[in-house]
Amino acid sequence: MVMSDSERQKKRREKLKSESQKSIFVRGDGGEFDERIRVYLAVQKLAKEGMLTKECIDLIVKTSETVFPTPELSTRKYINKIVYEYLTGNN
Amino acid sequence: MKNTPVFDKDLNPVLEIATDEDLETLVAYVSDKMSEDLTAHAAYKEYEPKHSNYADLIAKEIRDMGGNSFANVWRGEGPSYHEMVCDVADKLKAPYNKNKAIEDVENSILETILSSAIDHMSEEEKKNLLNEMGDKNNINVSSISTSVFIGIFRAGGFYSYQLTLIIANQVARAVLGKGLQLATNAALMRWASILTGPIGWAISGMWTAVDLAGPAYKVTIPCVIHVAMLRKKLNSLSCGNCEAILPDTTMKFCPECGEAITA
Repeated sequence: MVMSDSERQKKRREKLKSESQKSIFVRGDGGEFDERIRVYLAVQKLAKEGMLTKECIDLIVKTSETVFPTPELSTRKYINKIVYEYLTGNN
Repeated sequence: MKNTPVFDKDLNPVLEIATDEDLETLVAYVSDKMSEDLTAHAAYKEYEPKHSNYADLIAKEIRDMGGNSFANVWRGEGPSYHEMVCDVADKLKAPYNKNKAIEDVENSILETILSSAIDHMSEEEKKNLLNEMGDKNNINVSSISTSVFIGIFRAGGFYSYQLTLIIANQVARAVLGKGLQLATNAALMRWASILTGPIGWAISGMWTAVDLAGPAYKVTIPCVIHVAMLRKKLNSLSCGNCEAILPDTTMKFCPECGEAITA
């Protein structure tokens, strides 16, 4: 069936929206039984309490840049910035 | 940065790592319009002129400018930045494929402006420009066509960024009455002297059409060109010490400050 212009536009907007905001399904209310959330909250807690060395934080930040393959340098700089701010609480 | 939950994957990453100077021009473009909300926001009042503290708001405002006000209310945000760039490409009659990445559509817009500018150049000016771009073979003047320069632009890297910067600078002059305030490499200043006139004429011609098209494009076209320039800048390799863009990826020392380049 041929889609109308408005249907095509609506489909495209939904696709772009889903690319920008992907929901993460977690186990338990607020993810209390989800190992992924526990790992990242544990890492953040250790970083904020100063128990991770600067080298360790830098390594986590650097690795996070390429967890999802990202060829663009600007995107990697952005990931670097937001992960560093998240770990150090400099928002 | 959490001034707004509105996020666009093609726009926010670029603006949120840009410097205050980089964002200054974008703020000037959007705040020029009567219907803007940016200057009424608490974060703007608190941090201005440190624009990097509210880069997400600037991104939201740019997208809002690209959509109909009523449609924005219904959608909850402006159109996607990709859609906005495609609209600008349509307006400037730049050929593009809407399924391609944002960078390809932006490049198509810049190539259209560049082609028009190079068509305005004399053979002597073309030869000078090619020499500045590092022509070692002394190509015959009569054989230099626009496609040579477009080929250099498409190759990306330093020359591509410089051509984009000159275009963005001329657009800023046309819209705001003053050029960009950016720290630039010495090579760029030589280029600018050759390209400023032809690109200025090409942009004047384009601007007449934009004036007739309506007020929204007066904001979206300059914003799209400026963001394209910032994306190229941020995707280029730069010196860690003085932040000068490196013309060559094999360089061992920065040509501006002499600092050793680290991988």
